Amino acid sequence: MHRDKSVMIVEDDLESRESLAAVLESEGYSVIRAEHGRAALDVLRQSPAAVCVILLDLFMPVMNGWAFRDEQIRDPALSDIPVVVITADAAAASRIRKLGVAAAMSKPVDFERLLATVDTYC
Amino acid sequence: MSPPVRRYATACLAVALAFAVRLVLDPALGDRQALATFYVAVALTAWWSGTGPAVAATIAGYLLADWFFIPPRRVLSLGTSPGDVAGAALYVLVGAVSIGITSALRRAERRARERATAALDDRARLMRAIAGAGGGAWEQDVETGDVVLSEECRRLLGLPAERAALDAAAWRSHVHPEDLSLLDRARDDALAARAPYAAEYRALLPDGRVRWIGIRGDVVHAAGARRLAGIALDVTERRQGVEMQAQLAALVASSDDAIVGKTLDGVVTSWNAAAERLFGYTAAEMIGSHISRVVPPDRPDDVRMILDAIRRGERVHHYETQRIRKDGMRIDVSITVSPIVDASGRIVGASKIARDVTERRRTEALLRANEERQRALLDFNQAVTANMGEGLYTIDTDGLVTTVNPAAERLLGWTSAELLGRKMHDVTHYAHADGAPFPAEECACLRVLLHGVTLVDQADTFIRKDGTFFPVVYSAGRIMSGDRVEGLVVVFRDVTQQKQIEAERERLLIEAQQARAEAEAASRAKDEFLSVVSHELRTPLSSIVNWIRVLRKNDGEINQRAVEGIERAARAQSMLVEDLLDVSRIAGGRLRLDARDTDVRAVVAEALDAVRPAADAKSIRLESYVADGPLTVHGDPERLQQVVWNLLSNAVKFTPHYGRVTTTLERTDDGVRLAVDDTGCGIAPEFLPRVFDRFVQAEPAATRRHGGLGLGLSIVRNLVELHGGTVSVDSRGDSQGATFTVVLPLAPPRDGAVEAGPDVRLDGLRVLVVDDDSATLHALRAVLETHGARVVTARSAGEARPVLERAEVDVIVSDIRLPDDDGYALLRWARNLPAVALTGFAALEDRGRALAAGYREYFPKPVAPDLLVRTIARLAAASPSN
Repeated sequence: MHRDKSVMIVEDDLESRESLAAVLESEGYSVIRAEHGRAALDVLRQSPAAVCVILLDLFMPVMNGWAFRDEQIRDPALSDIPVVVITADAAAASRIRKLGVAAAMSKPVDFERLLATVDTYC
Repeated sequence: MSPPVRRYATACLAVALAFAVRLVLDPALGDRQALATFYVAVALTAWWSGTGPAVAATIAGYLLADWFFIPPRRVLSLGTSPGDVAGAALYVLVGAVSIGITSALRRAERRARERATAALDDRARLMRAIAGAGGGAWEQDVETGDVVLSEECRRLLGLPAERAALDAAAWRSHVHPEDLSLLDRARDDALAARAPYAAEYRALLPDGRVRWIGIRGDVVHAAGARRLAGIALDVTERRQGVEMQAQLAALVASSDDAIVGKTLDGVVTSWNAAAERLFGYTAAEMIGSHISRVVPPDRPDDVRMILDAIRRGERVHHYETQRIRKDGMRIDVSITVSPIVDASGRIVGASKIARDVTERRRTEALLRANEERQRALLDFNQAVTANMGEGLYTIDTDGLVTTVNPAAERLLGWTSAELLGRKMHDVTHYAHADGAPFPAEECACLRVLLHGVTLVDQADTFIRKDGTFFPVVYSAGRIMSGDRVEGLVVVFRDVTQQKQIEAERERLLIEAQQARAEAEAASRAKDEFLSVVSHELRTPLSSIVNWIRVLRKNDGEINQRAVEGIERAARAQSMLVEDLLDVSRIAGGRLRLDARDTDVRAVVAEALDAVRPAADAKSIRLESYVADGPLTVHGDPERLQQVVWNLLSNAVKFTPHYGRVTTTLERTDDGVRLAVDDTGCGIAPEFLPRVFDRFVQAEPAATRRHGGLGLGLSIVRNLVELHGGTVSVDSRGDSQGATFTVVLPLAPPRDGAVEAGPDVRLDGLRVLVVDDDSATLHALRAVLETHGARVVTARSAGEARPVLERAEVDVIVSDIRLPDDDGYALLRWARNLPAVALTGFAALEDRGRALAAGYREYFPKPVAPDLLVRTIARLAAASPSN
């Protein structure tokens, strides 16, 4: 599998981030890791074309998922990058809808659905 | 009158003389003229001695002449000759004529003399009379005006003796100037009319007095000069009387009271102007009429009664009755009637003074009605002020008390008598509630007095007699009398109770609000907690699932990572679940300590080892300073390690890379002190008090930097307190790190007195154990019976009550939380029995509350059996019932 672009995982919990990265890498995707929204934006602004889809956690320090999404949408260079929200908080569903994201999934994720979604964009 | 003898002797002498003379002349006369000398004798006798002696002289003269000289001499012819008869007849005739003439002359003379004498007497009497009347005589020369005064007259005018004669100027100078013309006119009139005159004038006495002089005079022509002569009298009193009378008459005329004179029969004799006005009848109409004209027909006895009284000489005073005016209108009159007494003291009539009292009566009626209204109002006011619950007092414009009602007396502690006349402000209002002086000039009441503002429901503080303050609400307003400010009325009530109720209500409200806020916060915290629990549980689970996916898909080196990841995640999740279970146990009072003597140094060392990998991962330096020698506490080593590990892992969690966490363990006077100090993010001051609360985390969930349920510190506090210790936190603020300090009591030294063991006996002691948990009941029964106690168990306060009432118990051991009633209620029936509280609610306030309720000891469950046994033994020994 040759893919030009990478999947970005924005997730503060090291274990979750690494395990999810391991899953995607084992499927042949290259993964860019960011521990919060600010770090993700820094990477994206350096190479916006490098990312095909963003897997976004909501509850994070420094810059949480909602704040990241706000900035992303305001930045024309980034706004088109599809975002998939992956959250452990099922109750956040209503708030997630307002984010206008490609998909929302709760942890633990349904791999078939996740991989299908990622595959759509990458 | 001469005596008759002398008169007859005189007659004899006259005859003898005539005889002698005839005898002498006889030679010349011869027989002629025999009777010539006797004529003279008879005439003289008649003149001197009157008719009788003259007749006698006539007869005697004739007989002598007949004997001696008539021829024939010496013979008494007695007119026998015709010549003799003629001569005798002539003689008798002449004698008779002489007697007649002389007697007539004598009578005339006597009368004249008598008249003169009488005139003299009259003048003397007149003068005496004039003098007696205080009067005197005077004469004035009309031409010169000079005046001569009698002694009395001089005295009358107050002139000295040398001034009995006055020239015209001197005379006029003593006459009052106003009266000079009057005197002159009277005199001129008298002179012109040649008639007597009278006048009265004021004489100016030398001593300055004025005396009214009445003069009467007449014109006298004497010695060719016209003179006025007359008398002068002091008429001062009469003039005064006249003036008085004039004044009285004027008084009567001008009096507003009707003044009526009447006879004893009631016939009107005088009727003044006021009577005309009062009764409507003119004086002309009434004088001569009967007084009953003005008496109403229904009061016929009025007049009779009055006249009867007058006849008895009594006065009728202010007799109030009615009279009828001429126009028929009835009038109310007040009558005073007095008898009129004449000079002899006889009652000749009555003088009546009548006053119209119709107006007065009406005024009186109005006044009376007004008074009644006033009195009624006063009674009403009195009733209101006496019975009102509010205190009421009034002060005058000087601030002096004028009225105090009973409620005010009661509220202030002063009696009305003590307050009246005192300055109210100085008695009850001299200081503010904080004790600062309250000058009267600043008192709001002054504003009311000066400006008329009305104060309504002012909150203030008054001072009682005993000096205590009490809160009041008062209203104050001015008391006006017309435009004049009379004073101030203040109505107040004691609002102490109201204030207390308000404070209580306020407190309850705040408590309710706090409780609600707490409940809401708790609810929010719980919601958040659930969300966090969900998040936290899903996170490791997610990792596990992820790794399993990786395991399925791959093999080789990555699998090793996957397995390690699964292990870490499972362990983390296990700890989460363990924490949740601990919290659940603590909340339900089901956390059990496996307490034994434990060296805290070992506990700390193990906890440091456990946390070291995490610290290393962040390059955090772990420093520890541990005191030498064993630091033994009585506790559960697992739980103590949980405490230390929680504090350490928290410190590592919140401390950034390359930070430092320092652990210090030392002995204090009566315990062990463990301090965990970090260089982490610190704790905001406002969050410090809530650090140990359940479900509380400093960060909002959305941006939480750190995972965890927020239960760790809550569990730490509960575990520490179960061990009889305390935990506290201090932070210098944000990013300044934090220090958690745990103090645990040292285990009691191992000696016989406190040794838990079979030698502490409870033989014969009756112990009541109350707990709703049957496992606990069994365990406690077993322990206590092993030590010889007789154990009675109860599952509720209700079950325990009859046992207590039968007084079959020495010591009580009871759970605080019981199904029906709490353990506090139980003590109500326990009288003063020693009691030990056991509780799963290991909160400090529970301990305080239990001890306050009467429990002698308080142990969190589970209590060490030997500690309980020793405590029961001690309490039983100290109890008076044993």
